[in-house]
Amino acid sequence: MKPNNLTRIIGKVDDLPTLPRTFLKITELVNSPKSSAQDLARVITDDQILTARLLKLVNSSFYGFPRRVSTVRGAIVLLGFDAIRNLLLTTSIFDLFSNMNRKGKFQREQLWDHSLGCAVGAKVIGGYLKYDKIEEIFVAGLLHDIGKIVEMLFLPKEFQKIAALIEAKDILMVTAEESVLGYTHAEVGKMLAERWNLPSKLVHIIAHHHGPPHAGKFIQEAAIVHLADILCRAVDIGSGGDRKMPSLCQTAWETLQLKVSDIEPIVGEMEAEFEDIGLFVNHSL
Amino acid sequence: MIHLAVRNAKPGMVLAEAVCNLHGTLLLKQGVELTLRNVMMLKSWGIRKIFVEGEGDEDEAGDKKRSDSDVAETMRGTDYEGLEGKFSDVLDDEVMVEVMRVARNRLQRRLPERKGNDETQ
Ligand SMILES: [Fe+2]
Ligand SMILES: [Fe+2]
Repeated sequence: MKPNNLTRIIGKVDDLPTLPRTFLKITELVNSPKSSAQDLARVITDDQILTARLLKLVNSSFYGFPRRVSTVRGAIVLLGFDAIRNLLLTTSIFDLFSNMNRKGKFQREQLWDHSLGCAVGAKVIGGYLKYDKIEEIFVAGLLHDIGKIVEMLFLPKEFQKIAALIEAKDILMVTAEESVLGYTHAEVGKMLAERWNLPSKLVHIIAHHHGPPHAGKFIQEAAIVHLADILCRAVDIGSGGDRKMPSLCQTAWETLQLKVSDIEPIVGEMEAEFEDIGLFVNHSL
Repeated sequence: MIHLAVRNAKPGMVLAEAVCNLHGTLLLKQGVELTLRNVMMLKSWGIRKIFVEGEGDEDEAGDKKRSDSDVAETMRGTDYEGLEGKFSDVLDDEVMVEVMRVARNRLQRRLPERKGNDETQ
């Protein structure tokens, strides 16, 4: 049986936040084997804000290129198509977090920090594993709790109930969600990701970041985000919505093949990079 | 009114605006005088910025209310308490025991680091 509320959100699916049209155009271009760097550059330069953001981000410490990149074409050549798409997705997601009303300001900021922390964490863990799609795993971290934003926007009453339950019982948000809604932000996020036609890898990571073994062939990616989520909660980068540590999925941990002694340097890098990119993203995008 | 990073907040500062958590639940009312305990509570909710009473920029505010020498010790104690509650359900896993140890170290390290920064400003 589909829980009532989830059906309710699906009913409102047309009101769900959408991605900018430019993003969709770019996704199309990236997915088509025929398109060239020039085609992509043309679409991006049509949008001044996008162009400015792209050049800022390319020149930020996140990428650490030794020389200044001053043209969109140069950025595309340096980063590649996929990276550009993910980068644009990042800026769109940030807009989504910013577009909430004033009442949601604190919530948004903390969830944004948690998401950004998790993105940075996923990037660092990905680096340890020599994972080759770093931008993609970064975006996955950024999006993993997007279902919480949807709940805030579309189920405000239930969200308040969830909050009250967390306060009263000091439990995990997923536990409170299960008892109030009968499902969690992971399922809501999956729905949004599907609506946005995000790549199936991203859909799976979002849907299974609390249970990576269900992510099928994307178990490694889901496990990376799962661990990143736990690590940012541990050192209080933002807030995932509760004050409890979720347990680490054993299968996920084994999939990653990390050593226990890797935790400390990973957390160290995460904190340093979060300070770096946090300053940049929060003030410039 | 000063927009201040929570990590630079000092006991005795007065909140110029109420602070709410992720769910919009009120954590501290406007006019509340900060204590070590409630600063730690704000941190545990991941709050990064607050508004406090006063004029001037963030650094001056920090200087005016420079904390006592034993503040660091007390803060550490509070951290441990919060940390143990947070990890209470997951410590049967050796990896999580390590995560908690690392988290505790990072929390401890943030204090002396901040002191160093204050002095160079
Ligand atoms: Fe989550
Ligand atoms: Fe999360």
